[in-house]
Amino acid sequence: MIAAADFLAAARAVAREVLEAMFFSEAEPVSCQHLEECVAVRVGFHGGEMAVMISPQLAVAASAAFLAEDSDEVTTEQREMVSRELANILCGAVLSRLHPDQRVALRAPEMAAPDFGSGAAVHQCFATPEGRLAITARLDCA
Amino acid sequence: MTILIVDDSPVMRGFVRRVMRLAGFDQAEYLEAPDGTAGLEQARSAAVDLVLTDINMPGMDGEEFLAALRADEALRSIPAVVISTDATRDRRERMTALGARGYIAKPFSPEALREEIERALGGLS
Repeated sequence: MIAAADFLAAARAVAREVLEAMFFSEAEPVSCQHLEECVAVRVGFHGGEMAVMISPQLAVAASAAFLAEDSDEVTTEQREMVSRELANILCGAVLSRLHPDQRVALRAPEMAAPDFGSGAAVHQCFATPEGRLAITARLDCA
Repeated sequence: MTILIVDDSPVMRGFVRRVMRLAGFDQAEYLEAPDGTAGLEQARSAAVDLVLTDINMPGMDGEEFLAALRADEALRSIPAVVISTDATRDRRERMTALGARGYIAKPFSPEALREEIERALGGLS
């Protein structure tokens, strides 16, 4: 079982590392705002489910940085593939940090409806120079 | 030098290839495969010097792929480095037991990747 506070602390630390190392951006935790328009990805794992909501501008910028292409050249398919990869890395890194002695068992990331994460008990937003990112989680018995 | 990247995500394979070039492996030839089965076929049909493999893949996953590499007399000496979102001790130990010479958890920097690969190629652990 994962406590919500522990999940949030791990998510805050991990988001910064992941965005900096692999997407060449900077993420700062901020108070949450609803992302009306976003690219949403859900990743299931043993013990719950995590969702990552990415503002359209950040999704394009992160994809361009990850692929080393111009923002104008990023296709919708590439944007979705990179967003799934970002969610996968975030989720795996959070779980590895929370339970370093247990294997991480993630299901394949799936695109989700933009409002998928609304109402989740665990919710953290991040500001980056390119746009906003939110991580939500539903934790079993938390 | 020929480097085989095995990962089900095409964007991740591209990222790894680019980071490898940034890390100093810019003269290498790169082969790619989306799962362990295709990775084995590539390794059998080309002279591969280094394998970089993900773990969670549909079909033959990274554990099965490493086990198959080690079971093949012609392929067992190829150094393999695991690149995974799973940074847990249990998984590292399992992949090391299967013959992985290196293990790098995402997120990673070009420097960290280079150091791990140099260790793997040097036979250090």
